[in-house]
Amino acid sequence: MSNAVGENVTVDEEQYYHDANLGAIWSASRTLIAVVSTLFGGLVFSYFYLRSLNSHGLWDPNGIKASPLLGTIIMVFVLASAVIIQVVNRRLRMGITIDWQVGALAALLLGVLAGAFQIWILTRLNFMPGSSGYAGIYVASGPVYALVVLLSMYWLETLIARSVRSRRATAQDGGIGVSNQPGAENFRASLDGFTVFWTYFAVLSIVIWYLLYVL
Amino acid sequence: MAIKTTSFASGGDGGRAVAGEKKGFRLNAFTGLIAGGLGYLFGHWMGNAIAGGYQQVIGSGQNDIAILLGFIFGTIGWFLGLGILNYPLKKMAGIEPPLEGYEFEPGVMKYFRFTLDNKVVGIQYLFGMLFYFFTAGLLALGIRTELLSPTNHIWGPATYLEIVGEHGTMMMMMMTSVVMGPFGNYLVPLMIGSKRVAFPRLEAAAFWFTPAAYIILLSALWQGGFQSGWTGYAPLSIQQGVGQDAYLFSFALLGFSMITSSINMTATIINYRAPGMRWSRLPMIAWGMITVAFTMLLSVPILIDGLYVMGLDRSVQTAMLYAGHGGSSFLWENLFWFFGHPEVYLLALPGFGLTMEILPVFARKPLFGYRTAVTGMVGVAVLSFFVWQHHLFQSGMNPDMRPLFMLTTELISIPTGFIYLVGLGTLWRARMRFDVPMLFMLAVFFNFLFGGITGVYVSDVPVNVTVHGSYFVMAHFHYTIMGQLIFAVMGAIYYYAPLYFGVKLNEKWGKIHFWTMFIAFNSTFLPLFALGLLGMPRRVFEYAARLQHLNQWVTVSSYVLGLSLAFFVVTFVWQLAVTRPKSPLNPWQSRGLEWQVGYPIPPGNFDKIPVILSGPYEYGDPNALPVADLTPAEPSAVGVSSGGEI
Amino acid sequence: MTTSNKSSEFTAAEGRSHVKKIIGIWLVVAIIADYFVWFVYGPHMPPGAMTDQARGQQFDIKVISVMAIPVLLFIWTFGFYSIAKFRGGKDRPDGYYVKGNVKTQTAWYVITATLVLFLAGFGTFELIVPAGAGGGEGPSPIWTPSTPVKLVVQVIAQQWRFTYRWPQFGGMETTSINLPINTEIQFDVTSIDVIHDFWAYQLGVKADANPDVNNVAFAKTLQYGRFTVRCDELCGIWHGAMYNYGKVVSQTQFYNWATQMQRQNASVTKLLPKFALTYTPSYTGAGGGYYPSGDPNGTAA
Repeated sequence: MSNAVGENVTVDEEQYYHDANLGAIWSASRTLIAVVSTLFGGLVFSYFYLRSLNSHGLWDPNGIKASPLLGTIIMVFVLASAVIIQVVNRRLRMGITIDWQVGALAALLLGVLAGAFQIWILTRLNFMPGSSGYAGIYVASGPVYALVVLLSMYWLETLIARSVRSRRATAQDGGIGVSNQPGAENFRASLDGFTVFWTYFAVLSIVIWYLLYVL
Repeated sequence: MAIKTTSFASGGDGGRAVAGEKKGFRLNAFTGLIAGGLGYLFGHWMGNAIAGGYQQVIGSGQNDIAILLGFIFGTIGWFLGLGILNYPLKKMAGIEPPLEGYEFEPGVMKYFRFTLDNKVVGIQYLFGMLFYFFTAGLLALGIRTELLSPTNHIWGPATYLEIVGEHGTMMMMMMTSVVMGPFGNYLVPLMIGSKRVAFPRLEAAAFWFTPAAYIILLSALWQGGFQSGWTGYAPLSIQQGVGQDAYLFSFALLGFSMITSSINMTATIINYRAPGMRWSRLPMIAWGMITVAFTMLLSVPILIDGLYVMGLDRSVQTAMLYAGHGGSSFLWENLFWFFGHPEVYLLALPGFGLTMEILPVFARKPLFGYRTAVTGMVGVAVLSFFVWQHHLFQSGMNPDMRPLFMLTTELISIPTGFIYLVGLGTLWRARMRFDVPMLFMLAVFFNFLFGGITGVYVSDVPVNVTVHGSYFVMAHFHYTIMGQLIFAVMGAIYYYAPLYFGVKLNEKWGKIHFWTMFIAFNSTFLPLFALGLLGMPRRVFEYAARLQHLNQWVTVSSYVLGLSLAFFVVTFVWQLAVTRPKSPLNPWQSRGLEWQVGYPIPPGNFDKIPVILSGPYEYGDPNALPVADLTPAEPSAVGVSSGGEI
Repeated sequence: MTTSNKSSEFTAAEGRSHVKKIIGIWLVVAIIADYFVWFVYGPHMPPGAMTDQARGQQFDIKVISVMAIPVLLFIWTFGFYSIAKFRGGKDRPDGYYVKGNVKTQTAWYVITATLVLFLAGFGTFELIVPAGAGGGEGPSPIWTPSTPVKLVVQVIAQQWRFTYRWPQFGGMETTSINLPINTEIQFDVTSIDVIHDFWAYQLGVKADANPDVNNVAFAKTLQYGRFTVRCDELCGIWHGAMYNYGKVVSQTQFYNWATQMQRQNASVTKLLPKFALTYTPSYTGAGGGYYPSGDPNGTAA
């Protein structure tokens, strides 16, 4: 990148754009965090806005919440998924690709289940969508939450598929977690981006869980 | 360089053109339209199957669920039919397809396909945006025609408001991309010395959102339109027919387009600058793009939230915008304006980027106060997040916050003033050349001055009592957007035509276009300030009889303005398609890196990664280094002097 | 870059002479313009002086104008002077190589910041002192008039008309509005369907009419005359036709009118819902019906 320019410059084009590509993945995954924060920020703002206005005393007159049990399960699943990813990433960096693959599959399964549970809750709510302010916010947040979880799981799935497909190509130099082939570095950049994003999202999930099921 | 093993490249790294392997039939906009139509029908059927029996659907005969599902599946079909989803689907199988579409391909079909070359995307955007702009412009003439008389009506009141809503929404949502699309995508890689953008697929996909949004937004007219204007205040917007669904869905689609475009733009500018392209040498357009991109990323999701909330209230019967069931109509006003105010700056900032880019070329002087210019743009972008309640001074919401929002709003004049300082400083003892682009840039400063100064009136709460919601405000924002942004874009089209098309547009015709547009624009919008102060509210089809003469004056001027733009369209198309007056290379003697690559620009922009040697605005310095070394010696080390810090 | 220029071409003395000319022209033009703005146009600036609030707004417009117009003229003078003097051409060398000037830039920052901060302070003062300057202040206004409110008028907006309720006259509801002179008036603005805006142009009063919100604005009448009431927030198809007129009359005339209306309307008044600060939109009322399904809580009707 340009800030590395000193008195003498050697421009190796392939390497230059490869590095730029890794940098772009870094920037984009962090940007994604900002976008998702803002997306949920709008909903959280709506939550507090309607809660504080409490028009006609109808924020949540009877204290009816969507199933706290399922809500907690969703949150725990997402959290567990993020923790697993963190743990198995270390194994991957040691060159134990198979551990990462199994762990990531487990994380994927947990994430997909979390998304599925979120959709399932929405099909059996114990309140009408228009019955209170809370009901509206819940009905709004649920699909966004499920969508973000499932899209994140799409990202993880592409990473798993890529690690499986590259098994032979990276077998000689220690697997995709340590290989210095550009494809492997690119993969790891994407994985790092995903891990940061997913960890952040797990923390965000705790906040959302607290707002929607506890507070 | 590491080995490229079979099927394990990192996905188009190297930025090199990868020839498209497939020949023969390829997916394009027409297959996209067919698939989109089928998707719409499927979604509509599904919506009827799901919600056809719901009480509110039977009661009202209006199934918003079917319409919204139709739009959702229609958009998915459109993307499938264009082949945009091939890549994400292949990725699920772990395949990293190489970048396609960097090969040079003659003919126009590439513009109707999902093409990854940043220059093709730029041209797609240019013509798309002009098309959207002129559609919305024609609607504006429809509005003005109605206002010829306070009592005789051309349109019914419902049709009138449909036109008003379509005009406002089309302009406000589409014009957010009028600089980032055609100029950002095309020029930024050239300006920062990159062979590619960071995410060509995201960049290209961002464009293909716009035709879908355009079609969906216009489709509202066949469904009774929406009478709630571009601001869509609830509960009026909840009360509307299905046209409102088209409004909210198309606006949200454009929101996704802005986000994808911005993610690409930020990543490109941060990571793909050529060696030597320091932040202190970054051209003004690139600064405009990166500030706008960050503003979009942090404000557009809120708009999507707001539109989504409106969509849920309309379709699944939540009541977030309805106080009677625990919601609040203020919620929409907050969500909407939290996006809506940054939006007007993300219309203005790229215009300033263009202006400050082009001004030094024709002033033959360095940009005055480069850091001040950058600080001004960043300052405007940051402050724009803290002013949204000034749209709601009279709403009764948080009245005690008004002094604070008055302060933040007026503070924005400081960074905006920076840009004037830069402009005036650049003109100081210049050797100006009055070619057509320069005339437009000078007009930008002239016009925006009215917009900026009346902004001080509008932001003053006591004065706002009189001018809020009146034609004064309407004139104010037309001066800031049309007077600034559209003039900058027009100037930029004249300026960049030699680079984009190898065509130098006729100076004489250009001057006729400029002077008619400049005079007609001011003649159209200046009287609107007076109309507003004299008590004419926005969006009315009836007004006081005493205001008729002014209104007639404005309407006739608007026709002249329309004719002037029509003259531009005709001469522009004529010169591009028929006469093609050949331009010399770099006819304006610009130092900009984008001008150094010659015409036609090779598909990968540069043969070699250039090494940037000095800033882009060093006019008048006899000792200035050329802006870049385009053929740095390879592979041995090249000596690059670090150059003077700006 | 086409040709080099010698720095001696651009002497400091020449620069100072340009500055002097620009400042000179600007001063003359600005003083003349400000004189006209303040003394000639000022007294006729909208929205007039029918109320204390309108007069305040007129004063604000005058003050902002005399500050803004010199700024506008400075940029014009500088711009047109530059266009006239600093011309070049393809055969002429490039302009003066200068990339910044600490003094000029600092002066610019300081002057613009001072102007802006002054205007923000001035605007705040002018907002607070005349009791919210005629703008909507929400349900519990914090800036209230110094003299007690004599008359309360409730403005009820609906698609597409304004009606007025008078709590001091038995809660009667009228379709027209008359106001007494020299009276501190409180407007309680609300809506029973969508968002409207009560804009009494000559009174300098503007307040959004929101459903379920009471938006209060104050005005003290000072002059006799007719005023226009318009809806100023897009409220649907007939928004453009949502206007009527009112009058400021003498206190006796007003009292006679009001008591007469109260008598006339007595039979209707007793059918109206009890006077309240807000009225929830009903299923049957104008603009209602957008939540037609079963009301789960039974409170919206």
